[in-house]
Amino acid sequence: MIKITRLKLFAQIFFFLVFVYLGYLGVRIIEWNKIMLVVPTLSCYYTDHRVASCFLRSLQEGLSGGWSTGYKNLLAPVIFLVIFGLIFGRAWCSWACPLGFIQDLSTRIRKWLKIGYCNLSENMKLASVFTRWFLVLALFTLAIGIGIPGFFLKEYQYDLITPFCQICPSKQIIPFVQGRFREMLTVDTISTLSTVMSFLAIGIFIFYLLTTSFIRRMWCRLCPMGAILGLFNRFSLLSLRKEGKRCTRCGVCRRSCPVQVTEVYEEKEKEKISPSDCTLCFRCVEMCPEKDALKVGLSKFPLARSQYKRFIKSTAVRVTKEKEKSR
Amino acid sequence: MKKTNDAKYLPTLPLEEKEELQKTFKAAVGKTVSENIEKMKLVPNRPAAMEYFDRVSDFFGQREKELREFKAKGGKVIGYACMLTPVELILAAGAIPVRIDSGFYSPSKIGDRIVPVEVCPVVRSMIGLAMANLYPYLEMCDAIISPNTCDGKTKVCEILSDVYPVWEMNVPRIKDTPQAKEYWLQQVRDVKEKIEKLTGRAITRKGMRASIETTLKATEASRRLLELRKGPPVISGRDAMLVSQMSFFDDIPRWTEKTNRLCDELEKKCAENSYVAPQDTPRILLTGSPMIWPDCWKIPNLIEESKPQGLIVADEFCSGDRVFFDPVGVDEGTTGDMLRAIAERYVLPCTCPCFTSEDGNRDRIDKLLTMVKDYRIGGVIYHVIRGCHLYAMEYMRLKRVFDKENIPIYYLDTEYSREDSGQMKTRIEAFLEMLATKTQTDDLY
Repeated sequence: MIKITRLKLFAQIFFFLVFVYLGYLGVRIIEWNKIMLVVPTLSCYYTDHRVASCFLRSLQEGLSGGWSTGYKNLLAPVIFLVIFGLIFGRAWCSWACPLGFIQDLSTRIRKWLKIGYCNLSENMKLASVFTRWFLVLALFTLAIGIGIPGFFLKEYQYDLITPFCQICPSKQIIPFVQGRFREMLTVDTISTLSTVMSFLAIGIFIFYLLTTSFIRRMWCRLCPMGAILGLFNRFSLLSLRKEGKRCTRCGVCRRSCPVQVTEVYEEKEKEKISPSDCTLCFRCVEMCPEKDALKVGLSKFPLARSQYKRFIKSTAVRVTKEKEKSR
Repeated sequence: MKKTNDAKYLPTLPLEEKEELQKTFKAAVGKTVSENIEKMKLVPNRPAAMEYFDRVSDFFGQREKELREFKAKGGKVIGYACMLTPVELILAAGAIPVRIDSGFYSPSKIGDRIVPVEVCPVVRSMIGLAMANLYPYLEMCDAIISPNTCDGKTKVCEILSDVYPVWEMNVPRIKDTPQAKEYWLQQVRDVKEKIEKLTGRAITRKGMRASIETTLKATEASRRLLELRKGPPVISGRDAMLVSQMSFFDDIPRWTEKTNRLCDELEKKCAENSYVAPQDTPRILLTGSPMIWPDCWKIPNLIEESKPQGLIVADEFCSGDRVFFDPVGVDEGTTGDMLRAIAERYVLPCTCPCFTSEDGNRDRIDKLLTMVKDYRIGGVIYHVIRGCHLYAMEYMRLKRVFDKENIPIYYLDTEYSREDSGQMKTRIEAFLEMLATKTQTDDLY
């Protein structure tokens, strides 16, 4: 029985290598009939030799350039998003996203140093939900606004081009992991607005760095991509399933959830648990000590079930085997 | 003896009377224990590994000597009155935890001098033990941790504070609100500090890790036994109950090892098809007030000896299978997280009726229903000790659910004394008869 966390780590490393370094091997953007492969992770525009495009980037480009073409360019990215979203839900966040991987790495280092973490209070959790939907709203308004001829935002179209990408922490991180340190933390002084955007970007990057070590998966709670993908959780094939009758409500799932989802603990009736915060990392499944209480489901078909053996393997307290001795 | 002046409840007994009581108590306990063991030995194909637990079950044996030696070397023994005590913290400080719930009948008569007879016999018996200084494990306690769960436990520990330092923990009765979580965590932190002060040893991260590992192993062994009991009848219910009760005062790593050895033997028996009862014996689930060794063995003895016979395959007692059932689930190995894990393990999954939540104590009903399914239960016996109001009051809700699910459930209210054994026998036999005919007719159709 392989630990879900370990499997996830392999997946994250794999996707990190694919999204960040595969281009160096000569693989170019995967295209088919001029349709770019769009993935719903922060696979960044600022990557040299990228192999796939970030959905947010394509969305913003499609929105701002769409006035004259009738937003035709949006079709491909949205179809990709819907397909990937319906299959995997928000699992992209915890299994593939490079930014998520970096957050997990910093958590691993923090755990290794035996430093505790902070939890967001209920109010702060609510605030984070508002923030991410505010970001989505701002993204749409700005991206559409700069595309409308005659609208006052059109004036700033070169300063505000792909507005979210300008402030995304990925803009600093991808050049860093690719060794292009000069492109990090740059300040664009062409106009006041672009200077403001640059400083905002640096501010958000510093916020990302500071919070990511002490608040588990802080960025995921603010990410507009996560907000959009979260809408698919309710319909996704890959999902978290619960048999409420078998739950003893010991609260381990609630405590070990990196984004502080409480529905897994609270729900007793519904079989499918799909809060939009959940990144489907399935930490709760491996930490649940009750047999079959929680399941990783592909639709109704269980891929993995919670059981005591899995729990023992996944807790932080290692249990050394002494079975040989007793026999 | 720590405090003598300013007794709030307990009178000081004359020395001669104490000695007299001690002598009769020892004789009475010895008699009950050996009687019960003899009865359990009559079970066919009884596992040989039970021999160890038989030995431990006599309170005044090897374990008492071990504890006295431990104390002579300066070790501390900490008693606890309820399952909700974070045992891991006691272990982490190098002290020995001893559960002081009393299942003795004779001391309960001494307790009658302080509290009315309507009070639950566990409480009266504990008072009697303390008053006449009868029970070596209670006598050796350097302190008693008392989570204030039911009314009886809350008050008995106040009474015991005449003799011992008692550290009370205020248990939040509505257990799953954020405030309750924080509050209980603070209680656990406070108790941790008190333990550290008593033992003079800091409870470190490593110490806690090791103690959690100890209890996790015990939980694993206990769950292994439970898993085996889901199958064909390889162990009698009384034996399994004795095993889980011996963890009250036995050395936990040794208990784990012996339980694992028992499970090894049971696995072999499973393969050899050597059973303790016919396969079609009605399978009984016990729930309700705890049945504590040795004087509370009246009911299980009656169930498994009656004709037609019943087989206890599971129980939902805080003195039984629930002792080592819920594991401490540590997400990250920091001190804070381990403390939080320990705190949550004791309150959140606990099905004691002293808790309530938005939907009452629904977790208990769900747990029982799944147990009925998993253990293929034929009938449920709802045991209530007279005076245990919380369990008595929850019965009606449970009965309604069980009636709807068509699961036979039977209410038994009893006492520690054996006066009612005749009546109990008739009632149990009638219930088992009903179950036996039900299985036969079920087979027909």
